[in-house]
Amino acid sequence: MDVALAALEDLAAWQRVIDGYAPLFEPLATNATVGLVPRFFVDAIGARRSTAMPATPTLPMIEWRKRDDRMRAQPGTYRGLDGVGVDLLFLAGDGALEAVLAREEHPLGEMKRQLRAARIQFFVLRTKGELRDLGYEDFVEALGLPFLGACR
Amino acid sequence: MTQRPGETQLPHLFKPGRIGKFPTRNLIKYGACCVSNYNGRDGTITPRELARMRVIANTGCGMITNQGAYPDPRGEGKAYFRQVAIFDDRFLPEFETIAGYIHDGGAIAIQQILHAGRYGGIDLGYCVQPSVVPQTLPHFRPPREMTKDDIRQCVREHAEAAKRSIRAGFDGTEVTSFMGYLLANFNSKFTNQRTDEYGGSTRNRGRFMRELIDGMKQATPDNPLIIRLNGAELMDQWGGNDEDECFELMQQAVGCGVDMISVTVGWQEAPESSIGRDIPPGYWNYLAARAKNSFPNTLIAFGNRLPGADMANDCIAKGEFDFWEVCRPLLADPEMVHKVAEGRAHEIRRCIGSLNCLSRLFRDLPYTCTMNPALGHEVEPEYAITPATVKKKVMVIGAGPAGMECAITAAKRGHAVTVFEKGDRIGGSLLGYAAHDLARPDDLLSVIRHYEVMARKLGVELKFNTEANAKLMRSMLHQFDACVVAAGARIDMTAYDRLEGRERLVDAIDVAKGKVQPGERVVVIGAGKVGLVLAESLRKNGAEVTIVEGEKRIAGDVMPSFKWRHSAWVEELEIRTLTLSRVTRVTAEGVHVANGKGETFVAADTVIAAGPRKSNQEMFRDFEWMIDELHGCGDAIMPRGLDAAIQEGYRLGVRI
Repeated sequence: MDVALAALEDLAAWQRVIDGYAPLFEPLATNATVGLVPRFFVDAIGARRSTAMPATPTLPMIEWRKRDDRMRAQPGTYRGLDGVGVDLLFLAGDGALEAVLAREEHPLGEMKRQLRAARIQFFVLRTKGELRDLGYEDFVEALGLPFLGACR
Repeated sequence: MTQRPGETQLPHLFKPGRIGKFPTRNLIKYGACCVSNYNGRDGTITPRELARMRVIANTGCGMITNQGAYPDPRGEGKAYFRQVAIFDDRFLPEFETIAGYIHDGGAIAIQQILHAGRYGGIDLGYCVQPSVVPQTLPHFRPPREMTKDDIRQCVREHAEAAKRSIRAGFDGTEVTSFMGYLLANFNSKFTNQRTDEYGGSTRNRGRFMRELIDGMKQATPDNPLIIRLNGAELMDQWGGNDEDECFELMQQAVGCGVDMISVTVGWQEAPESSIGRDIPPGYWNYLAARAKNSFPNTLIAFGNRLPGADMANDCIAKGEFDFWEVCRPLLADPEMVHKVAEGRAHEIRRCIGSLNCLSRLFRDLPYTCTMNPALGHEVEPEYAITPATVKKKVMVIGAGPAGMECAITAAKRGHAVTVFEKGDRIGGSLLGYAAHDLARPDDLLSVIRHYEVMARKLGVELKFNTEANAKLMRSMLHQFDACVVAAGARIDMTAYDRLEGRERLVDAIDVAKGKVQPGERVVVIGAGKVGLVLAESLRKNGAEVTIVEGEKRIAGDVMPSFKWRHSAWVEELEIRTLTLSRVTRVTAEGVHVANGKGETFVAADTVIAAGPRKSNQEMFRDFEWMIDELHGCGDAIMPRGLDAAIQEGYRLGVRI
């Protein structure tokens, strides 16, 4: 099994990560959702393909969704970027999520490092204003997302 | 015509050129420089824009590109709130005016057509792209995939816009993929995931570009067409094109008969810097050289992070490109080409790569320039340097950027200006900042050198090692008509009055100036720009550094374009950062820090207070009854930074 897929299945481990950052998720609105999917999949003819495309076969996704005042890790499905239905989407390269989970202290710091090193790709599926309204300001800032981009 | 001294020194840059049937007086192309955001929300060109372009038209370039206009009435191509439009004849009169200005200034006129693709649709709830690939920055609109009909319509609209540009009097047109706009979205395999004839292979991805070129050339067969293409997208980490693919696409453009390729670097979303101060000048030249080498019969323009005319002259001499494409340096100093030509290059105000211009655009603001306070205000006579009606004797206190900007501006108007500075040279706090800057200190030092040159030229009297105070002022009563307090700011050490062990704190300014040598284990209190720059520099030189910051985030007072750089440096250098924390006690062994998690001890031999900052305002009270006019500017009013210092110094200088 793909390393990224294995890491995606460990819901309890992701819940621990999330719980370690409870204050970061406190401002989030109910149903605010972050998605994590593998960055690559193997297609029918055995070729390795990027998941950063409008449509893919059904792939496992882990969602962090705000429910009952708490951010919860839950399984989801991913069928491509078109209509993915999350606010922020992270596409994790081989070993990236495992490295995040392996980090006992400050795993989001590791996630930030993986983002900077482009081992995790991300997409923003909401406008800046919408993200702010949904309460993402601290989370987005913690991962350094607004600062990426050559002109900024 | 007699050659001016600088033209003789830089003969390659100043030799005549040609594009299509149009001769150019030199090989300098003013680049479209993104957009100004000075225009109407409906795409109409405003008097503010016309006034700016009148200045640009007289920069002395051989070719001038007017900023990108969006070509579609729906606004899908519109990237910026106040971008100009060219989808209808009603916009023509102002374009005619601009073309006229450019011709009057002796240059050939190029109109850029800009469809922003994934960065477009700023007024809409969507943007259009070859495929649905969301953006990686939280600024843009959700994507919609273009149908083949949409593509054909888009090509028609570009052709119409080109035709309209020529009717307005422009000599040629330009289409741009720079920074990840629509053309780049089709070319890149990151954003083009189509499975029809417009997607897949490099050849297929380039089909839209070829149709665009063909459409525009058919619409304007007698006029040159320039295309801006990435030599490097810097998006390959995300699955974008590598450099070889970029050059394959260039080859396709050459095959379609474009008259010039402007080689560019990077997308807005690129995770690495391309044009900031942290990129050394000349870093990307190899891309231009590769293009010229690959396509020797096509004109190549280039200018990314190539700010110096002498460097451009050398590159042209070596055959690395044909035209120097320059933009931001001409925003910083519209007289730059003339100064070079006249052998006055030392008087140039250099672009320091602060990216104030671009970071404002992404906050939907008009662009401004740290170094040129008049940019965007050309239409306002109040911003012009005009002879003073009453010539005054002006004293300026402080030779930092605010004081010097005010001094040289006032001197240009005919005032007799004396600057009193307690230190022994020009620069103020910028000197200390530059000494520790990790990006490129020479850019900051160029600001100081400029003031030194201009003070000499304008006869500004400089009195160094002179502390301005009430006693000094009393000794000079009635000798001056106006006094400008530009004494900067300091670290407010009184903020630590109740801190146990406060006598052990050292002042960040003293460390920055080299008066205090910190030890090997340092705690910096305050993660604003002063604290960060010091912390980074000390860490780089081997010290173990911890930053303690009371706020939730670091870099609160850093300008947007450099926030992420500081954030990255802090991480790369592994500087420990304690936010939402405060120092409760300082001892000989270190500091005690309290935060939501309790109290912790950080061992340190030096504890630097790097905030809060406090304006040096005492002189306002002291001098109030001693002089006719008393003014202030820069950090002496409120601690901010270089941009505010220069803008305020200038604004005061033009009206005093």
